Parts: sequence; C-alpha cells; structure tokens
Amino acid sequence: MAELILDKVSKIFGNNRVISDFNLKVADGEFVVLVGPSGCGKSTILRMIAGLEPLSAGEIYINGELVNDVPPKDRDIAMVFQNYSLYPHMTVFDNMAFSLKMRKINRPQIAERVHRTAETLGLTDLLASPSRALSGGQQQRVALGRAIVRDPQLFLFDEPLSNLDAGLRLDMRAELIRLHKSLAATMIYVTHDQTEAMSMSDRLVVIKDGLIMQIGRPLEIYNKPANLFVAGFIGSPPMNFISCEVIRQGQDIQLCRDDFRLTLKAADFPALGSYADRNRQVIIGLRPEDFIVAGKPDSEVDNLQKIDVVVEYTEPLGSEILATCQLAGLPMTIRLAPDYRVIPGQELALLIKIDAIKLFDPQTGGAL
Amino acid sequence: MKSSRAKSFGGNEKRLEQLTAWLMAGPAIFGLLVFIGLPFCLAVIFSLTTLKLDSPLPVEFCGFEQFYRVFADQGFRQALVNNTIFAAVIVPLQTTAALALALLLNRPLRGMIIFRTIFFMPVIFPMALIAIVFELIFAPGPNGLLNSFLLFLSNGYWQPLDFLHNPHTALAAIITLSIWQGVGFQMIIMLAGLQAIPAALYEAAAMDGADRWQRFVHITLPQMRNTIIFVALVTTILAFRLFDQVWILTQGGPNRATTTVMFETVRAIFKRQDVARGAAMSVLFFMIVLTVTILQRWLAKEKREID
Repeated sequence: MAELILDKVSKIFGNNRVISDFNLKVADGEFVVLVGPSGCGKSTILRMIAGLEPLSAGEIYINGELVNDVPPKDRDIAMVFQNYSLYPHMTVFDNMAFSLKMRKINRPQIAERVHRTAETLGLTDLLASPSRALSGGQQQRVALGRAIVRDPQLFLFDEPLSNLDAGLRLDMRAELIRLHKSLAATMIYVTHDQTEAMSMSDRLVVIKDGLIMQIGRPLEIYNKPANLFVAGFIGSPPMNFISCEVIRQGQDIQLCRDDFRLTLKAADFPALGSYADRNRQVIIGLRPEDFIVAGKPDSEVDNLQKIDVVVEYTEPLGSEILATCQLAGLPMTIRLAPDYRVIPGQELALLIKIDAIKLFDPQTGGAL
Repeated sequence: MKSSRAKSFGGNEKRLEQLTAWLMAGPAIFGLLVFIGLPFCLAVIFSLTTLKLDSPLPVEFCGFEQFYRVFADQGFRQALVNNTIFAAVIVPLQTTAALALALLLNRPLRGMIIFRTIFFMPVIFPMALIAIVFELIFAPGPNGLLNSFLLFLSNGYWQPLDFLHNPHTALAAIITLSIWQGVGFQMIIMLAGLQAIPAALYEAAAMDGADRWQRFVHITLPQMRNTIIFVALVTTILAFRLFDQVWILTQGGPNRATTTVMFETVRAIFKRQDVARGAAMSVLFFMIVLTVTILQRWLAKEKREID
C-alpha cells in the first residue's frame, strides 16, 4: 500500500531530454496507466520509480519518504517486465520464492505463500516446471505471481501484455483488473495500447515526448481531450479531424470547408467568436460514433445537423460496421450498426451530434 | 525449394548434392586423417612394438610390455603426479581468476578496451618470451626481481631462493607463470559468457531484493554454469599438455620436480630415440585426457542446458 509522488522529475540521456518536469501524484490503491506512443518516455518514468534509472532532476516520494537514493532492492516495489525476465535456471516455484528467500523468510512460510499465490493464478500444476519450458502466457502468469507473492508496496507493469496474442491479452487484462480489485494495491502500468489503458485504469496519464498531455479518468479523457494529440491518440478508430474556416452569420457561426457547412449557435460556442473575427481556422474533432444515419430517428439525441457523405469502403466487424467516407476531401470514419446495408460509392445522409463536437486550435493544438 | 527439386528429379539430384558435400568436406577430412588420424593409429601400433631409432635390434611386437615399463618408470610416475598437482591447482585457481577478471572487465567504464587488451596480451606472447621474462623474475640471489621484492617487503628477513631450481618451489613457479600466461584466454571466454546474460535478469533480481552478492550467486553463477564447465574442461586439457614452460625453464628438474607427461614423452622420443616408449606414453596421455573429459562432462551433465 503506498502513495507515490513524482515531483518535477526529469531525465536527460546525453543531450537528449527524455522527461521534463514530470509531476504525478498516485493515491494509495490507485491503478494509474501511463500511455503514449513508443519512445515517449513512459518506460523511463517507470524505471525511475523502480530505481533502475537514476533521476537527472526532481524527486520521487513513496509514502512521503524521499527515495531518490534508495536502491531498487530496498524500495519494496515489484515490477513485471515486458519480456517477463523470469530466472531461466529456476523452476516456477523458485522464481516465485526468490524475493521471499532474499528477505530471509522461513521455508514453510515461503512454501505457503507461493502455493497460495500459485492457486489464485492457476499455476499450481506448473510449480515444479523449469521456467524456460513455459509458454508466453504461462510465463506472464509466473511473472505476475512473482510480483504478487511479495505483497509489495507498489506494483509496476512495463507493457506486460504486449508479447501475448490477442485472446490471451484480453484474458490477462481481465485478470489484472480482478487482481487490482482483490489486492487493493497501488499499481502503475505502462502501455502504448490505448484500449488497454482505457479499460484498466482508474486514472490515465497521456504522455508525449516526455511531457504529460493530460491526466484524468478514462472517460473524462475520452470525452474531453485536452488537445489534438490526446484526441487523436485515445479512441479506436481515432477521432476524425476537419480544419475549417470560421464565419460569423448573425447569431450563428458557420464552420466551412469546401461544400461542408456546419452551423452552430454562437451562444453555445462563445470561444468561436474571436476566431471568426480574426479570420482564423479551427479544427473540428468528431468521433466515429458522433454520427447518426439520417432516416433512423433517434429520439434521445437532439441538436443534430445533417451532412451528406460518400461511402468509400466499409469494414464489417460483426459488432459494428466501420465506414470510411469522403467529406470535403477528407476521409472520415463512422460507426454504423452491424445490420446496416451500405455499399462503397453510396451516398449517405448523416446527422452530426452537435453536442459531441470537439474544437481545437490548429496552432496550439489545445481544445477550445 | 531444394528438397522439392530433389524429389522431382528423383535420386540423381540428391546423389549430386551428397557428392558436392563430400567434395567440400574432402580437404578437411583428408587433413584430419593424415595429420591426426594416421599419427594416432601409428602411435597405437608403435606402442605395441620395440621400435627404437638407433637400435640395431630388429623391431618386434611386444604386446603391452612398453606400458608396463612406462608405469614402472619413476620419471613417468613423477610426471603423472606433477601433472595432477598442476591441474588440481591450476583449474580452480585459473578458472576463478578468469571469472574475477571478467567480472572486473565487464563494467561500462571508459578505456575498458585497453584493460581487456592488456590482460589478454600474455595469451598471444610466445611462451619462449614469457619464459625469459619469468626467468628474470625468478632469478636467484638477492638481485632477482621477486627475491628483492620479498626482501623489501620483509624488511631484509627474506632468505633469497632459487625458485626455478629449488625442488620445493619449482613447480609453484611454473604454475604461477602458467596462470599469468593463460588466464587471459579463459577471461575472454568468461567475458563472452557474462555479456550473454540479459541485463533484465539483474534488474528483476534487484527488484526482488537481491543485493550485489546475491545477484552474483543466484544470477551470474547459474547463468555462467556452461561457460565455467567449458573453461574448466579446456583448462584441464591444457594443464595435462604442460610442456613449453618446463622445456625452456627447468628441463623437468630439479630432481624431476617439474617433469610432466608431455615432457617425458618428448624426451623419450627425441632425446633417447625410444619411439615405442614415447608412443606408449602419448597413448596413455590420450587415455587420461579422455577419462578426465568424460568424467567432467558426466559430472556436469545434470541440469545441463542445451540451447
């Protein structure tokens, strides 16, 4: 159980500033996911928390204690590595018992704890096998067991599921969520997979180039992305962006691009006024589910606006159909109901959910 | 692609491939047969005869007579004892030293390549050169390098020794110089082994609460197991082949204190022209090395990793 604070943490490799002034506070029992594209520095942050990488500047506190100079072995942190890093010359039992042996816990107690953990993870039958004889999924489980058996203050996960195949990944994801619930432990999890990040976390930290782009609850980030990067990175398929001219028309504001016209009430979007006055563009962000096919009235949604698009191609996924359409010369992905009949080349009348629209400044990338 | 073609053309293609393989391997096989196979067979045959180059007597088949004589020979027995002592001291000492050096030289330090080169250099020096250097170090009298150093350390109380010609110190002197000369080779192999250990294992162990020493015991040693076995094996074989140092520095003396199986063998053949006796010795030498090797492999077999 631990509270973790990162205060202005920075990391410089040579001339390369990888992490700049990283601030984060993780509450006791929280599941925080650090997500970002590869090379954004998220693993480096994790390794600094673990103590495997020294800080160039800043401070890390665990339970109020400054740990900058505490070696990894004394931090009481368990880490699950991307390639699992099991001890290949040891059996599953010995792998799980290792940390307990290092702490000079007596043998019967070690055996008891290892067996108990193995049972919760379904590893009992594998305890005697050499760890290098295991499949990827089994190794992953053992790595997890090795972390859990210690009952550490803090769990760190460095992309633990990325080496597993898709089915196994879903299983392990569910298992991790269940584990977090039952252990009520503080967990920090690094991934580049935004679906994983969304589905597992209490809180999400979106990182780009070593800088925090946004911190928040998953739905908060999904619904109110702070900037273009977060908007484009979180959500699959990604958000559609249309950069438009902003024109004032009496009480209304019109967003235009070629023959695409979107009319908004100036009162609902006060920020747009100054863009119209200064003749600046904005970027509209629309998620694939922010459209309704016209003619399929949806009584629960009001404030809709109709546009026409041409379907380019479709991807039927069973549970839904993704249709890529042409709108003002830009490809747009929209989500359709699985039973909807649509063919490439077909014209489609769509209603845009005006309340779902996100607007961004093209220069700063920030949300309006 | 190859195999499917072989099928469609029937056996012809396959036979052609086999022929090519034999042609390619031919020169090497020829060399092995002529320079290793044939001499070994000849040695076995000679060892069962009375062949002596300068003898006027006709060569006769004499069964295992040569082997009995060799075993009865004080010099050969002493050589066996010396070789055993030499191996028993050198294998653990040199293997440990090589591992220690490799650990020291496996740090990411500026100029490490220079240190590695320095420690490896004795391996490429010819033994004759090393022998001369050590002859100076071990020189008798108070002016010998080692003697004067010991005199300095003991504040004048040290009694200068003639290390190479004192029966109590001669073998130790040979052992010292052999370790100095050979350790670099084992060190390089150990270094390669160390570098093959994934860094993540050390990180995982550190996270699991292992300190430096525990990481060495629980990660480095088990991961180095095969390398250490290999090094020990090679060192054992090399130890039984001990010859150059002895030939140059002590000629087996004083009083057979440094004689070795190889030394006795060479002396029997080239000094006394007693080919049959030398052949018997080399056959025995071969048997000894083979036995030690099999024994070591068998002892190290359990848990052996095959990858």
